[in-house]
Amino acid sequence: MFDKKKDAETTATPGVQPTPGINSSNARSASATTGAMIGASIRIQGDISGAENLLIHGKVEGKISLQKNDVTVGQAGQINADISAKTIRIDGEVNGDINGAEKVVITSTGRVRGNIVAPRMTLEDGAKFKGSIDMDPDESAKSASEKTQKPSPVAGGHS
Amino acid sequence: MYQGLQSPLLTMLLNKHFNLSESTITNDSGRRMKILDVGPAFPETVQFFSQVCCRLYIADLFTERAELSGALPDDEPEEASFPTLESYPEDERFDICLFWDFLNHLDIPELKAFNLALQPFIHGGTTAHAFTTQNSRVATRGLSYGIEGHGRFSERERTTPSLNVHVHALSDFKDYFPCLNITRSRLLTDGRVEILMSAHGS
Repeated sequence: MFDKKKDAETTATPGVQPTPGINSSNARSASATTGAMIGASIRIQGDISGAENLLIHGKVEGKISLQKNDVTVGQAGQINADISAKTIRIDGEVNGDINGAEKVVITSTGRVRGNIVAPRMTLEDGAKFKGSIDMDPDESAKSASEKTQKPSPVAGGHS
Repeated sequence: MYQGLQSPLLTMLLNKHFNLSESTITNDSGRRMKILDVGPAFPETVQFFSQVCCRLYIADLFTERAELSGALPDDEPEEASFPTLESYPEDERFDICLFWDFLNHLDIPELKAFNLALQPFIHGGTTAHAFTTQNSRVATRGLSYGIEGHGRFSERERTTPSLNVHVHALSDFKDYFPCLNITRSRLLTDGRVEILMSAHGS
C-alpha cells in the first residue's frame, strides 16, 4: 500500500534537491509527507503558510501555519517558531508553542520547549519536553465525529 | 525500567479530582484540571493524563536546579530561584502537584524558596504527592517517576543530572514548606516514605 521509494520520489518538489545525510528515519518521515520539504541546508526567517503537508529538515524562525495539513520536523530540523497544523510530528528540535488540531507526536529523538495544545498527544520514550500540554480527548472524539458526519462535496461545486 | 510501584495514596490523590473506574479515568468536573509535574517528561504520565481534559505542566525542576547550581562558582552562595515556576501565568492554580522526590534535593533555604515560588499557584483544593526519606542512602537511588495507572507509579533510573541530597524530617515540611500540609504518609519497605499533602482548608 505504501511504497516508500515511490512516495519519496513523489515528494520531490521542483527546485528542492534530495537532502544529503538524511537518514532512514527521516526518509520515513518524508514518505509520510506528500507535500513540500525544506532541506537541511535551508534557513528560513519569516512566516510559512499554505495548503499542503510540510517536512522540515532545515532551520525555521517565524511562524508555521498549515491548519489543514501535517507538519513533520525531521531529525535535523531546528524550529524557533510557533506551529499550527492538523497533525504535528517532531523528530527534531522545536522552541515554540504547538497547536495540533488533531494530534501531536514527539518521537524519541524530539526535543521540544513550549506549550502544546492538542486533543491527543503522544510522547515517545526518550523524547525531551518542557512546557505545558493542554489535552482534551472529548475534543478529539468531537472532531472525529464531525469529520464522519461531514457531507460529501457536491460534484462540480466551487471550493 | 524498574518494577512499577502500587500506591493506594496515588489512587486517593486522583480520586479527589477524577472519577476512577477499573481501567479508566474521567474528568466529570466540567473544567480543565491543572497538574504540575516537577519531573522530566515521562511517556506514561502523558499517556495517562491524555485520557482526561487537563493541562499538564512538565517543569523538569531537577534539570533546572542542576543547571542553576552548576552555573555558580562553589564559593558564591546561591539564592534559590525557580524560573520555570515564575514563568507560569500568574492566575494559574494547580489542582495536583507531583513532586516525586524533588523535596529531598532541596536544603532548608531552597525548601523555603520553593514554598514561596509555589504558593501563588496553590488553591484550597490543591493536593500533592511526594516521596521522602530520612535515609540518605535511599534518597540517592536516583529514580525518575511517572504514572502508569491510577494506582501505580512507574520508576526508572534518572537520566537528568544528579543533585545533592538533603534528608528532611516530616516536621521540616511543616516548618519550611507550609503552603501544603501532610495529610497521609506511608512507609515503603525500601525506607521511602510516600506522603500526600493538601492545601490548608481543603
